[in-house]
Amino acid sequence: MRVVLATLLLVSLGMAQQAGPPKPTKQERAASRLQQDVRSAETQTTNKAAPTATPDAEPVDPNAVGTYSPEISEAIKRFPPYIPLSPGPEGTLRITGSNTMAQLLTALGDAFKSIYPNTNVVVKQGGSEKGLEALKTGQCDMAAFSVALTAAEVADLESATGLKVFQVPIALGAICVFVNADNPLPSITHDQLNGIFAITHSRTKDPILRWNDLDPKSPLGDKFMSLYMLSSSHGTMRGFMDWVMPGENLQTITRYEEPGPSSVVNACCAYAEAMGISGYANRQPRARMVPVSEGPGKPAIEPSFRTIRDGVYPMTRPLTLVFLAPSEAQVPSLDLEFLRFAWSESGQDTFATLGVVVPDIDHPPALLGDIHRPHGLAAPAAK
Amino acid sequence: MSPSRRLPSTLCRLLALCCAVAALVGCSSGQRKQTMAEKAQLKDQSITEQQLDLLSNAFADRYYTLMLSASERVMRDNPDLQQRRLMNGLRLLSVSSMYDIATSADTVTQLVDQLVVVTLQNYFWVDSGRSQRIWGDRAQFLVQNLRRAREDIWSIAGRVFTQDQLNELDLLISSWWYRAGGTEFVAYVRFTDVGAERGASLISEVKGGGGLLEPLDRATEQVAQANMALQRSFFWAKRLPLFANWQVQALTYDFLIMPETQTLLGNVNRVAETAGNLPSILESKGDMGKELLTQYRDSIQATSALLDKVGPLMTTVQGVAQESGTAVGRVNESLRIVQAMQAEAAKASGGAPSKPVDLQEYGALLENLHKNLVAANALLGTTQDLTDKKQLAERLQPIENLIQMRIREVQGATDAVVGGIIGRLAMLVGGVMAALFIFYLWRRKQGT
Repeated sequence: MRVVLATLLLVSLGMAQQAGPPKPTKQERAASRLQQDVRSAETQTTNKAAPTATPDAEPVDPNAVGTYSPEISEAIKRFPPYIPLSPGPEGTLRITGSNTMAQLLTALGDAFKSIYPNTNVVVKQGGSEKGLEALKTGQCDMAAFSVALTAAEVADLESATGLKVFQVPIALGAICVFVNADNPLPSITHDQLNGIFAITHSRTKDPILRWNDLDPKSPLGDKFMSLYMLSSSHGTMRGFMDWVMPGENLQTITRYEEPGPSSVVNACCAYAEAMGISGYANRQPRARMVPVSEGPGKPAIEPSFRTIRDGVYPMTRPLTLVFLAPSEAQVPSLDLEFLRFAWSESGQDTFATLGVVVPDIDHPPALLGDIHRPHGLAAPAAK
Repeated sequence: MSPSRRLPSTLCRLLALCCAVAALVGCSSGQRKQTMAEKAQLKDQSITEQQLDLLSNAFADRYYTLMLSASERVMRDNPDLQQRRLMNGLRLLSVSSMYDIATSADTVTQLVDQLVVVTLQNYFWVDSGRSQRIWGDRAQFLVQNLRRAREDIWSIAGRVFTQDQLNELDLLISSWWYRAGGTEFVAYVRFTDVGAERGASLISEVKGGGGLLEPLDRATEQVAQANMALQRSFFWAKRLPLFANWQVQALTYDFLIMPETQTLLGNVNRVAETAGNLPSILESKGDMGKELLTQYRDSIQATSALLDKVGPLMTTVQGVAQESGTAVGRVNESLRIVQAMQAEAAKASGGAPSKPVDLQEYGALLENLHKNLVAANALLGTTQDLTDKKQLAERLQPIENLIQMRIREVQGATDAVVGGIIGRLAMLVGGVMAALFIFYLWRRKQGT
């Protein structure tokens, strides 16, 4: 009996190994063939401009992620080239916080590591408030924050740690209202956003729940709006609620809380009746960013590189790295060099590839000194 | 047993116990310390590995139904052969990928692989607008269903991973996507490609109790995995016929889309037109008739030459089918192992080796594919006006019927094979029990 059982067990374990994930090279080749066919079909469809294709079929959107307009290229060229230090910094830099910034910081960390192999940048996302908490408890070296810190938050951090708080913006972003690409909603006002998202809708008489409440001409008619967003611990939602509905709570009827900002936009790409709140860097061809007006009679502004950079778009925000040090002269060298890299042409090029807006080079952070002068920084303290 | 022989055995046991304790201490010291409240909360929410395995299989089935319904909506009454072909290719690859994952050995790896594939598919097919560019308005069903699959799999992941771990997974996947340039075809990307070292440690962390999955001791885990592996082989075998249908359709579409086939169709039409008008042309044109007759013969010869050319092409297509039919190969391999197991077990129990599992039915699958192509060729050769897209679907109906018939045959054969295995295993257990009972009676008789 033992022999039989042992045989059964061994053979079954053998099967378990057999059933394990083999390298599916043949299937990959089949996938590769289909990929070629898909590309070919896309090219053909684009060339003949098929009547069934959607209006965004032409991949020429100057605001698309990964697309450089001459304006973006010009802005990046104004940043100084990065000149590496020799010997370079070493060690691990732990950054926690904003989901919107996690992607940017991961890419920036990879680029930084390629220059300084003895460094490691570990990025964790979970929302701006989580970053702040991690910074307070010493679980990270920098917090990624996608909204500006309040004075109370700065005071709280300084009293809890006994250290000085430093905030360095590294890029610009914006909080955007997304709808499906086929949704013709022309624009949305500050008051309408309050009527849609705030449970007490202080700026509108009635709540706005259906598409024809918002736009009588909407082809979606009396369908309910499905609202996709992050939890309120995320900087994106904090910034949105601060502007749209200060002191009010989010409505709960048709609200869906998503695990990340890309998932919010994905819902808008897939569902015709969706409306989502996410970051400018998360834009996708199948989701449209709706122009926002600050009030009746005021122009509706579409989020774009220019309107965000000029601060014309209402929900523009700085993407900031927050850290602690006893004083400006004692900022750890690794932190400082990472920030210097972020404010270089290479750093901003990495950001622009991922769809955020470069900051104003004429107003660099004071901490970094004259960023155009190589090695012009005060001697940094060792970490 | 003498004391001198017992001592090393006792020492070995003690050493093994010490090693086990040390290993447990070593493992636990590497993990993040959890508060009592956290532990209690995790205990309330945790699921077992078996439950996760069931969820993963259920998701694979759910994904199949989502892809099936979306693809049917895209393909039904669609006159565009290219659109139908691409949709069929996509569903074939995607669903076989999902089942490939669901039959892999480790449950947590299964889950993260499903998570990776579905999330990346959403980037590739939904967010980019690629589906609309290829299938136009018909793509709406596909993008909605892919999104639903994403919601489902992240919901399952929420039962296994903590919020921090989910955040980490999300970042690993999106970072990989951007690093890969955001254009890679994603059906066969796996978590090992995406997660690198951090991904591997994340899986170990969850399996060691650092998530919401109940940790298992090593021995229990091995037995559980052996059980699940056996179940998976049946799970996979039962679903094999699903793919046979799509595989045959894929080959048919591949065949129809070939330039040579299109040329052939064009020539067949010209031949048919010429043949229909020939008598009147010959009567009215006199000497010209001879010239036209020559042209007609040339045309037939050209068609014949093209048919000769298509023959080897079909062999190539069949080769592709065999190449991509690794799933069939894996099922066969699993069944061969079960067969070997039965033979060994039969030997051990002293009985005659049982009849080996007949795998010919599976081998017949590829044979059927070839038959279908031959039949398709014959139909194409005798069909007129096939380039008229409105009539194409109608003309292809006999092929579809033939395919359905073949699928039913394979379905029956698969059921027979799987049923046979279960029956034989039951007989085997019965035989062993009977042998043991006879042995017991014999010993009892000897004792008295």
